[in-house]
Amino acid sequence: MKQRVCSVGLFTFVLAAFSTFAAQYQPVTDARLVNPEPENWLMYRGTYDSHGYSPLKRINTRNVKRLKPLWTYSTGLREGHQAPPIVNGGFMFITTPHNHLLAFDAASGDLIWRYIRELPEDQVQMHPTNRGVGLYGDLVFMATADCYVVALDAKTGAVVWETEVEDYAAGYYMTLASLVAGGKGMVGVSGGEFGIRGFVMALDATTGEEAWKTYTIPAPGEPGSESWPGDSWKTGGVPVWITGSFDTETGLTYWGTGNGGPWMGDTRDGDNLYATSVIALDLTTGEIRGHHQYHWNDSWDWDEVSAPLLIDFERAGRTLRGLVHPGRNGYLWFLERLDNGIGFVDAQPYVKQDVFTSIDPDTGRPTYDETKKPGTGKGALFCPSHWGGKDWPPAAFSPRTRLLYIPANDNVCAYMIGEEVSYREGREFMGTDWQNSNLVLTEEASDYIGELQAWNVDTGEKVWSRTFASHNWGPVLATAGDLVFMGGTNDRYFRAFHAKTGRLLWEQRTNSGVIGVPTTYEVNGRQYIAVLSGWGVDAAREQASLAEIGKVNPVVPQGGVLWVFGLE
Amino acid sequence: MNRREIITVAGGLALGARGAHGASPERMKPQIGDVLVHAFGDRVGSAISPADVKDDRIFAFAMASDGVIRDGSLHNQLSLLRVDEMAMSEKTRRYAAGPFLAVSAACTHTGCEVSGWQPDTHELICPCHGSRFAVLDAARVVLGPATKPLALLPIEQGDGVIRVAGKFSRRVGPEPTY
Ligand code: FES
Repeated sequence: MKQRVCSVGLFTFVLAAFSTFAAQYQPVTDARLVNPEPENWLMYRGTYDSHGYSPLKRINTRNVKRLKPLWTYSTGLREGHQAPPIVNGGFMFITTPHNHLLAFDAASGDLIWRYIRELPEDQVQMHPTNRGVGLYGDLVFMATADCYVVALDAKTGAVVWETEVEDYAAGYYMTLASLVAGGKGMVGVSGGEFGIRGFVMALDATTGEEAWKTYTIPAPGEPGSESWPGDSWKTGGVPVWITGSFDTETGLTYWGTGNGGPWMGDTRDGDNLYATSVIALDLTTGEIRGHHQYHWNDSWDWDEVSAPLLIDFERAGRTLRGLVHPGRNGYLWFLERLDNGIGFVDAQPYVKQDVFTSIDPDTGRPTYDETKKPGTGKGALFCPSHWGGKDWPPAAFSPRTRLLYIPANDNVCAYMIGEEVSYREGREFMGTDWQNSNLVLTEEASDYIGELQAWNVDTGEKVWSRTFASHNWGPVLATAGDLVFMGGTNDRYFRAFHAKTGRLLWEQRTNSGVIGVPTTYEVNGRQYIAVLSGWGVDAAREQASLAEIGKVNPVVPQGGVLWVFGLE
Repeated sequence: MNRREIITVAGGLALGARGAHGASPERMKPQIGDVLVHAFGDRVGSAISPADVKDDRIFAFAMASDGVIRDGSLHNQLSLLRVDEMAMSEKTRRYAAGPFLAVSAACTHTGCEVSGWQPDTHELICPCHGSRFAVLDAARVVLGPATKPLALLPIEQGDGVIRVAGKFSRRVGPEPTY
């Protein structure tokens, strides 16, 4: 790991603009992160429990009809714009594909500064996107495609330090927002298609020095190592590419983990801990203090990278300190945070899932229909597709309605067949025969594919659902105004729904498809809703795969625009 | 708004990507006179003889006269192919050595290694997002998401080896993003 302290960015440049309120930047403290003011949005999901919920309610079910665009900003870049606009006291930060970081006056839309990461030209950008910043003190952090964390002065955009987390040439890259807690900035690595060995790393948020590094694949002799044959642990993937949750009471961070590599499970016989799991990491030491594997020996590319939402829910008259995760594997998982690990509560499919034949009621371990499991030279048709019931776009939870809002996809299945692949450093290591693999639609796909589902976390029942002809890649925001915001469809709409009923209350057509994480904030007593519209990455890839099997969809133009809405 | 945005380039650096243009000989682009060698497998590092190139694609790197192999970047990696000379377009033939063609292995979409090869259709296929390139027609895009052809490297044969005879036909890998 290399780490350096910079006075000016050695490989960077900054477009700076005069700012009248630079002096007013409010340092981000641990106390503020634990208890963010309602008017600010200081982290990926707003709060450590990953609810994606704001207590703001000036914009609500009664007046949302009057919501209008107030200002927009074109990033000048193509591909996937997924970052939440993160707001601290009138400063807003967004990131873009190829690691630009822009700071705005959150009320007026004036650009304060722009940082452009100078990326190596031979870095493979398999997933050209970035999912936003982390904040601490006067610093703003971005995890980069060339696998650095760079810390900038929030007021000026000057680089303060940067730390190399891993070597991009070996297939490592990063797209997630840092989880900042207890003076540490934590990141995970992507590269599950390139034969990496995944990990979460914590850096000292002030200096950039490494605090700890915890691999998601145990080395020989460590607990769980028996679940990997031979040397497969060295190149077994298990990336971590979405920001974790944090339980401030226990000091445990919760991370979702991705697929094993190569994709076909028969190349790495065994459960493959801690792939497709949630892991609990001690904030201080990085030690793995618990795990739950959603499904073993993944063979479907069902990354379970979304961190679970920390929700206390009722079961049989008891309140459980819960973890809730709508899985890419199509099951909605209810787990319990225990003193000695993670317990299983219950699970049920929320989209058509034909792989699991049963779930062990005590452990939650699924059994499989082996005919639904692809392998090397063995084709299999399975539902949902490798993009899952829900991919990375985060679900949201409203404590007012007790409903969990899931951006789902149903009726898309996949036929997949594996092929032999040998490891070469930094090269693609999927082992999937794409010539002979394709998507397959169920009959109901002509009715709908995308869906916004609302589930009561206490009864475990689905309360309402909205369906869309398009596939859905829309992250969800819930607010105390009883509104749920989501885009995600290829008709370019960004929409607001009634949180209790799912009724469509407002919609705005945008420049591109909205796959950004929406946020809300207040400046000088005025509430704003902000989101990036900029179709790309897997939303575009799925659309291309649907076109291959004859599903006609509207063209979705690329190019990112930040949209900020408010009441007239 | 009457505040004027000013643009400064900190450190006075010109725009450009770091990486493949680094000074080290391993990362340098293939140079005229370099010999093509096997990039991977049992014969890694040994010179490729024209007779080695059959229906299968061979991954190659260029080796300098002092023995340094330029394997420091995916942008230096080549797909060495044997195809029907008569079926090549005029432009393609300018880069070929008889039936042999050296095509950049770096996809122009987002930079993955283009590892798929279908000899019957003469298409190179990228596994990352499925782009297909028509080798006989100067590696033009047959199917997206890539929009730009793969770069061709001019080669020549003699003394039982294949040598680099010029520069890449175009930018290797994806377009810059700013
Ligand atoms: S990188 Fe080759 S098709 Fe995307």
